[in-house]
Amino acid sequence: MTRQLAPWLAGALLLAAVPALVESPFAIHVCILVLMWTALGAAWNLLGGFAGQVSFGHASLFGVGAYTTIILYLRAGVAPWWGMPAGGLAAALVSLPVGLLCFRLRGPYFSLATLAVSELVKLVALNWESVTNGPVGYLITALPPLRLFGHAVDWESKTPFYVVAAALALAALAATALLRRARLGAYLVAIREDEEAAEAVGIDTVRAKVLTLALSAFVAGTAGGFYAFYFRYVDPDAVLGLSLSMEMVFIAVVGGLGTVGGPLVGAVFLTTVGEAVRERFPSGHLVFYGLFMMLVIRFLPEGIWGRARRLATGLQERALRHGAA
Amino acid sequence: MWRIPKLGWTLSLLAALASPALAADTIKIGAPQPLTGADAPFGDKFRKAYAMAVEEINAAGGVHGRKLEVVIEDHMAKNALAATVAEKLITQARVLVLTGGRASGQAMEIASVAQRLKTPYLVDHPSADMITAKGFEWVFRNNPTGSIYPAAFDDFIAHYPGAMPKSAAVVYDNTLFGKTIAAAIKKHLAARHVPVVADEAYPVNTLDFKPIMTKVKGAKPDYLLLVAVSTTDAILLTRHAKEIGIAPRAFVGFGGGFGVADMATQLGPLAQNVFSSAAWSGNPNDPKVKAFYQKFHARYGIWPHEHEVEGYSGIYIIADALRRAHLTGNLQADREAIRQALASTDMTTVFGKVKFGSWTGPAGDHYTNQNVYSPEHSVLAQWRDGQLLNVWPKTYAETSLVFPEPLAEK
Repeated sequence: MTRQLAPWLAGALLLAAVPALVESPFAIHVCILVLMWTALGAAWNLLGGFAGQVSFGHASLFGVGAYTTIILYLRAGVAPWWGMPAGGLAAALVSLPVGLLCFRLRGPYFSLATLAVSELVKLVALNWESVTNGPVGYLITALPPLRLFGHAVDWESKTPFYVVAAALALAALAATALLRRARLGAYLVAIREDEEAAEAVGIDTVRAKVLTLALSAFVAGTAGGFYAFYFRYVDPDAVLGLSLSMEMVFIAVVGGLGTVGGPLVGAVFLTTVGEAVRERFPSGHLVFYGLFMMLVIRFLPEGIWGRARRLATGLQERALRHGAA
Repeated sequence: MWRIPKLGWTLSLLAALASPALAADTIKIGAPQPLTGADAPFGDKFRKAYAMAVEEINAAGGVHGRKLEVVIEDHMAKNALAATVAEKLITQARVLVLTGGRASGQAMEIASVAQRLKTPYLVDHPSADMITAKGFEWVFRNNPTGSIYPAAFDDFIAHYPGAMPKSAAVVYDNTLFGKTIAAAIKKHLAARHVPVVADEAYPVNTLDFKPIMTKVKGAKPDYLLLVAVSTTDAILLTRHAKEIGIAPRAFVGFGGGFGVADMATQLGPLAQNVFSSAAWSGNPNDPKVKAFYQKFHARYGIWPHEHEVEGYSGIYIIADALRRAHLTGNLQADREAIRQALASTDMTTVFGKVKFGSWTGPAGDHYTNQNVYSPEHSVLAQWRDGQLLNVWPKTYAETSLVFPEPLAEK
C-alpha cells in the first residue's frame, strides 16, 4: 500500500513546492495551463483510453462547465469555487442523454455523433442569448473576496489558481487510478478489447460507458469551470471550439492511452514543446508541432508514458534474469 | 567548491546591473497578434504597419532619445493563448504598453490581463463594444466599436433626399460582429420608424442563401441590408439575392466581406452600385492620408486598408503619449504615466482625430476611454465598375452616389 501511495505523495509534494521555488508569474501561469490540460487529458482518457470510445466532442462538456460557473457567478452571485463543481455536475447531467443516445453507435459512428453534439452545443450557446449572452459571452471583472486561515486571498497573484489547478489535476489522475482498480475499469477494458464478448459475459456495456462518460464529463466540466474562474472570459469560440476537443485527444494519445500518468506527461510535453517552438519560430511553429505529433504517433504509438513504462519493466525483468543467472 | 556559486553571483549581479542599461535602449510596445493559423494574414498586415511607423519614428530621433520597439507575440487567434502572451509581454518582456489583439475574443482577454496587471492597452482594431464598456481605465480604443459602424448609413437615410426607407430586410451572420451590427442597424431603423419586414440570421460560410432570399423576396423590402464578416458570404448573399430577383432601392452590405476586391472580381456586374458600409480607413480626400497610402504601397506593394491604417496610427498615438509621459525607468510608475498621457491624448493621425473619453454609444453601452470622434469614423462606399469608392458623408466622398438603384422595381 505504501509503495502505491509513495509516488502520489512525492508528486503532491513536488507540486506543492513549485510556487515556492518558481518566482516568475509567467512560469507559474504555464504550470497552471499544464495542470488544467492534465485534468482535461485525464477526463478524455477515462473514456477514450480505457473504454476505447473516441470522443471528438469533449469541448462541449468543458464549455458547459465554463458557462455554468460564469453564469452562476455573474447572474446569481455563486462564487466560482462553488461554481466549478456545479459546472462539473452540469456537464455530467448534459452527458447522460448524450451518452444514452450516442452509445448506441459504435466506432467511427460514435465519434461522429460526439462531433455533431459538440457543434449542436456551440449553436445553442451562440443563439440562446437570454442565457448564454450569445457570441458576446461573459466577462468577470472582479472576483469575490475570500478569507482563508485569516488571510485575504490575493486574486491578482497566481498562487491560489495554481493550488486549485494542482488539486484538480491530482484529483483527475487519482480518479483514473481508482477507476483502473475498480470493477468498472475492468469492464471498460473488456469493452475496448471486444464489445460483443463483453456483452456475452454479462457486462451491461451501455451502462458502463454512460457512467464513465458522466465521470469524464464531471472532470472536464470542472476544468471548464476552472477556465472561467482563471481566464475570466467565456465565449462560444473559446470554450466550445473543435480545436479544444482535438487538443484533449492529442494530450491523451501523446502521453499514453489508458495509463494513469499519461495525461500529465502529454500535457507537459505538448505545452512546453508548443511554447518552446513558438518562441523560436514565430511564424512556422505549427509545422514543428505537427512534426512532433507525427513522430510520436509513428514511433511511440503507445505514448511517451506507455513506452517509458514498458522500457522500465523490460529493464527490471532483465535485471531479475541476470540476478537469477 | 566556493568558486562556482561566487562566479554565479558575480554574473547575476552583472546581469542585474546590465539589464536597466539594456532596457534604456529601446521603449518596448507589446503586440499580441495572430501570426499562424487562419487569421495569420491579418497579423501580417499589422506587423507591416507597425514596422513602418516604428521606422519612421525612430528615423526622426525616437522618443526621449530612445528607439521604439514593437514585440509581437503569436496568439494563434486563441483566447487562452492571448491571455498567456499578454501576461508574458507584461511580466517577461517588460513592455510599457500593449496594442494589437486583432479579434475581439482575444482582445477581451488582453484587456482583462492589462487591467489586472496595470499596463496600458491601446486597442487598434477589435470592435466588440464590451472591450471599452467594462469600465477598464487601462484600456483605450482608437477605432469605432461595432455598434458605431452603421453611423454613416443612418446619416445617409436621414439626410440624403428621398433616401428614407419605407421598409427594410436585415440578413446577418450569427457572429459577435454580425449580431452587434444588426442590432445597431435595427436600433437606428426603429428610431426612424422604418419597419423591419424580414430579420434573418445565418451561420458563417453558408453555401446556399436561396431559401433565406426567397423568404426575403416575399416581404418586398424597400432596402436590403446584409451583414457578412466572411467574403464568401458577402459574395453569395449578393449573388443569390440578385439571382432570385430581389430588387430593392438599395443593397447595403455591412462588414469586412463587402469591402474586399473579390466582391468585384467574382460578382462582376452584379456588384455594381452595391453599398458597402465597410471599416473606416482614414479620409481619402486628406492629402496626408493619400501620402501615407502612397508610401505604404511603394514600400510593400499593397494598398493599405483599415488594418494597416489602424496599426500605423496606433503606434503614433502611443509615441505621442510616450513623449508627453515622464519616464523614470520604474516600470510601474512609467506605465501609470503613460496611462495618464494616453487619457489626455488630443491629436490627428492618418486614421483621423483621436481623444479618449467616457460617453454612451448608440446601443446604450457606457464607454470608458473610447475615441470620442468614433461616430465620425464611419463611411458608406459604393461598388462602381470594380472599384469601391466612398460616397457618404459628402466630406469623405470620392464620387457622387447612385441612388435609387436603376434596376429597382418601380
